[in-house]
Amino acid sequence: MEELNPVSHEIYIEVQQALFKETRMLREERWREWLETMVEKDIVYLAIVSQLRYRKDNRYTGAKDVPSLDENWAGLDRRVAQMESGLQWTTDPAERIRHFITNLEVFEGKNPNEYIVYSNCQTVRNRRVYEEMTYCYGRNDVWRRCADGKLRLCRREVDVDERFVSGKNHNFPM
Amino acid sequence: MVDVNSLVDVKNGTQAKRIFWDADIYKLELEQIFGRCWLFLTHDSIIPNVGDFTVTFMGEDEVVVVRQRDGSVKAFLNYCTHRGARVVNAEAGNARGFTCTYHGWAFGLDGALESVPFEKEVYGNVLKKDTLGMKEVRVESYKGFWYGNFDQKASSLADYLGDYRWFLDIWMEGTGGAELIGPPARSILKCNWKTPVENFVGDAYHVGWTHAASLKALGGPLGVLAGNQNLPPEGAGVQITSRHGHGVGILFNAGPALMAGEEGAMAAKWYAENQPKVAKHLSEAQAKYYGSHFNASIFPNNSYLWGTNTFKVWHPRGPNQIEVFTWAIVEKNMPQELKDAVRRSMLRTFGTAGMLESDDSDNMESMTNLNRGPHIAAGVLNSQMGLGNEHEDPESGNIIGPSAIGETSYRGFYRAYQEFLMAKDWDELRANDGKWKNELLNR
Repeated sequence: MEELNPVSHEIYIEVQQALFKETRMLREERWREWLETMVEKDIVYLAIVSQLRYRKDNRYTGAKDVPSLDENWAGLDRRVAQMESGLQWTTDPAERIRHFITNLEVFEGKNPNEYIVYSNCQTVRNRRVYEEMTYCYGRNDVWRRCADGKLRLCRREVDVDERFVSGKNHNFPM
Repeated sequence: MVDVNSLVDVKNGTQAKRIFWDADIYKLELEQIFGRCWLFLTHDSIIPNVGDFTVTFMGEDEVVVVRQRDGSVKAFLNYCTHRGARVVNAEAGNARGFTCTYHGWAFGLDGALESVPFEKEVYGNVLKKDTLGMKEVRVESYKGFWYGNFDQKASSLADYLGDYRWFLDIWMEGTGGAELIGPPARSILKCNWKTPVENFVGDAYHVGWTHAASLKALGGPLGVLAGNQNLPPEGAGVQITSRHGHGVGILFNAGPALMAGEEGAMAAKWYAENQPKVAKHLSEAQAKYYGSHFNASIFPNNSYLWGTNTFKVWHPRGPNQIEVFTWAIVEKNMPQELKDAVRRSMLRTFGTAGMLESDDSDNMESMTNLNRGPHIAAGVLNSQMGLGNEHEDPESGNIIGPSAIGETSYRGFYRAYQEFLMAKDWDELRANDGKWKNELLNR
């Protein structure tokens, strides 16, 4: 594996604060603000589950990745529009979603002004009276320092640990 | 003891509410329906090479489906004939054989028990290895789609699909075949297995309302239905039901479905270009349906949408839980760019993070779980929309409901459901072949 260069403590804290700000924004249902201020237009937003294979099986030609999400900016925009429509009854009453973000590592990216950001997430989602769902996954992000000096997300690959979706669906900010 | 006769009133279009909840009914379904119907296993595109295998379910029974050395396909119950442990722990792969993890009994690709550790020393001549192969399940394929059946006396898959093949051929064959994009996503929903099947087989009614926000946001040909702003006009679509309960709802020329902008235009162009090919390869009548949106189920638990291009199996897990397997499905000859766009659209709409999938599952779960209350579980469900408007479809031989929105396919699904629960064997089912339409057409 290629050696990665860790960033300075100062930048580490800055990225950490961006992740915390992002999750608070989403928790407060400020989806449009998140998309407009924290997400780059060339965003690739993936959530990938892995099919179970034998370790030594290198002959099978089928894909191993099982995508739950494969979105670009336009797709995220449509998802935000769904929530803005005033018609989305599945989140009325509102869901409550809380991310716990740990094991944060920040490295210099392949391009200047980009950072590779690894983290672990445990997310607890509550909806209706009885549905409390917990999801565990890693995030492999790329954050970019933009012309205005701010950090924006340009790639997120959510690496989902569970093989089946136990909590109904992955239709929430992962 | 379940009084099967009381569960479905075909002529009146109602079903007892307890079919979504009752454990005794569920037990009967596993025996009479999942024990005798053709159940989807896999597609040629998932196991193309010798030794390729995939693991799935038939009802609650786990099976492994294997490409044989002669190119055929076999399926086996996924347990060791020694002490019953699981034989195959991966979900898919390529193997030369399968070895049980418990004591090392080794089975060939054909399921035969090939070797037993220390056989001579510990068993002497006691073990009849030729009777201890993995238990085989009958399989047949239609246009590359493999189905399994536990009942040796069941009609062939082709006869089971029957006249409904007329509608399958449009996309399974029309432009050179279809393929699944795997592996399947898997999710657990706390609903009865029939709640999604009935929704896919014949519910165009909910689309504009349940999915109002998604349709409004996504646009595309289905977008105009958002919030019930528009009722599809007369002639906009039809509903179909068939001999064994398979059914489809059709919205004409809505093939690009929820793909808007450039992607929608790319899909529309593909359908327009290929319609004449379907006419030439199949028939003018079938080509009329090509490029439409299909919502459909193959009895009992295999559903698909064409246009939103999802292919699903709703595996039962008790009376009030299911495991959903979801693939994207495309025409083989579509250009890669269009396949990618269709796959992304499917994920956005009916994948495990799908905008519309999440809408549906909320309804399906409440329809199921509210029945814990005996007063809610009492009484009947209503599917009377369009009752009395159906007639025989001279083109396909099925029954047709002549409007885009109606509940014809619901009634046909539950007619078949009741017939399977009541019939003692396939001979009795075959004896009904000439009269299955009578109740639906009230004659």
